[in-house]
Amino acid sequence: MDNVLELRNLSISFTSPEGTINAVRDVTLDVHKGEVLAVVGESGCGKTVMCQSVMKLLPKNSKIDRGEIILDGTDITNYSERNMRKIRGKDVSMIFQDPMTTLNPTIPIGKQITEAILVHNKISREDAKKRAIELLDLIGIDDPVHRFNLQPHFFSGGMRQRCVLAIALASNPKLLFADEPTTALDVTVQAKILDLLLEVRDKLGLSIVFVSHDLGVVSRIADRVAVMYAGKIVEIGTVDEVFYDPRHPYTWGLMSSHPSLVKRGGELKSIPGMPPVLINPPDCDMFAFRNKYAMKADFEQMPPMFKISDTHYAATWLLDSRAPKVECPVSLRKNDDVMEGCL
Amino acid sequence: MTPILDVRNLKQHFVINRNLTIPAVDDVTFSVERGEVFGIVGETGSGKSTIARSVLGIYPITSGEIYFKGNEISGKNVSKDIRKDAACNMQIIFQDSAAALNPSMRVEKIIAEPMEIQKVYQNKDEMEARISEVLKQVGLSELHRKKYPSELSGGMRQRVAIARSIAINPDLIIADEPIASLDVSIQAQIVTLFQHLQKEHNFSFIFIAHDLSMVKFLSDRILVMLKGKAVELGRTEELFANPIHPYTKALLSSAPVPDPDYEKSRVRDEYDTSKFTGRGVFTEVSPGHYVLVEE
Repeated sequence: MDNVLELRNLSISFTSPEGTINAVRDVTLDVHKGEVLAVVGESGCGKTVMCQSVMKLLPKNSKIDRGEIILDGTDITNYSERNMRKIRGKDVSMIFQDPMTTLNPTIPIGKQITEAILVHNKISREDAKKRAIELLDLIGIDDPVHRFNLQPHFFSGGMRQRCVLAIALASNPKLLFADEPTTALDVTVQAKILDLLLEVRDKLGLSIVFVSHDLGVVSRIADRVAVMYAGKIVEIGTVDEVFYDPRHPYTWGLMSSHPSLVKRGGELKSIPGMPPVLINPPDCDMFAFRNKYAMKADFEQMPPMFKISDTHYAATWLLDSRAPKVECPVSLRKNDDVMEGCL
Repeated sequence: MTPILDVRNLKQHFVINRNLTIPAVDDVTFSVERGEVFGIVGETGSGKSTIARSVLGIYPITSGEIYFKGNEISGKNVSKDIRKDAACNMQIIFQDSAAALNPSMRVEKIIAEPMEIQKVYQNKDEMEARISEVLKQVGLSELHRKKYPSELSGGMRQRVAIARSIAINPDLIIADEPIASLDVSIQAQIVTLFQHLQKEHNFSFIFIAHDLSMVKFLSDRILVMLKGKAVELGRTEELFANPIHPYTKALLSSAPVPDPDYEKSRVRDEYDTSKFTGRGVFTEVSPGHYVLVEE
């Protein structure tokens, strides 16, 4: 078994007063053992919904229309809440953007961690406490014995996020979803949390699905990158492939929106328009409406995933043999020294 | 030429109770030249926004002086004319456009409000024409005129906030994290809009953000803040090429860059901010490059 998680043709929709919103559309994705897979895209593209669907944390007005969720070899698509409770936190965990809303403000940090340990492990309270202190030590909290008894408000934002991570790691999960875990933090703290995530991955051998919209953060942490747009994965590949040889015009757009890739005083090439609303999406390339390279085919038919290499796929008609050759407009090349002067 | 804004030894201490005073901004000196984009960066709670609010007079300052176009605007004896001139010619754009715009006003009313208060136009037609003009400048159409803020997306709301701030042609615009809550592609759109407006009208800008790459891209000079103190100030190229204070180094080296090879090979400078005392002298180390030399 090389894959911790497999999503097969997963489609998820929400019912709303305006109509049915197709938030995730036909997503097929593998998460390998011990890798960090980053999912990037604008808000509303379905990144979070995809993660929550595996945890079964979706709101009541949502529905899995089609597809399978296979976690560590078991199909959990139709698991009941009762069955999910045994898995949630044990095999798969999740951390969120804002640590303060995740933690209970009135309960000491240590108790919240032991609670998470005791749910899935039949061990004594003393042992659980020992394990909690070990965890606090692992995630880099100094003086864990003393801090064990402190409430979350004594901690800084970065330390709170570390505590949330400790709770998520309490039962040695195989898979961790990290949903924009560093967005609310300062850059210096963010860098430390990213390093910590990588360290924890190496020590515990878990897989991480890292959701973010910051390409800089992704390039730091990811082994593979999946780019999502309008509920679909439009490009997926190793981090080198996606950053140095991007093929989908949406990936180009995201990269040229980043100021580090443009000279100062130059102009950012932003993507015109806005992400689409996913009520009754037409059966075509949804990015075509914002894409200056769009061809007639893009408006008529959904592009399939074209294979570029064994690990690199992109869904755009530009990769069809009949399409005109378009040069990637972003000048990020491997071993290019453009970046050296940048930051 | 006198700078558009001159802040000298600004102190903004918030008195919580008898035993606790928070020095949110402590002894900060800087000036903003005409037509310049001045960036302020720093971690949460470093006093960036407090500077913006003190300059605008939202908080009465504890001590120090603020000069706008050469006239003092911070003291008690400021003449009515100077106060009005400052109010007309300084505008702010906030981070959260949903909170900054009145939800019960239509877009046209929001944009007209500063013009009505400052009595810029006597004639209604002129004002209507001006509203159309600024809507066009920020990339909105006539269709948006009658909308309420809740009917617009985050990026469009921020455009309305920008339209409101440029409606009376100010000399100085203070943008306090104007793009932090927006999507990547929308951020680029708004930043491009700032660039265009700045080139066309030659506004002076104070751009406050924690996203270093954006500040670097936009600003001519950058001020680095830490715990209410100015830590380093210099021209953007100079500051990035030759950072001197250890905090600036740590900050620059932890800003993520979208280049996997570079990210994986780079070495981060660490700086323990709890060791920062803030005592020291803000010294000019090379022309225009100031650093807080700690004791």
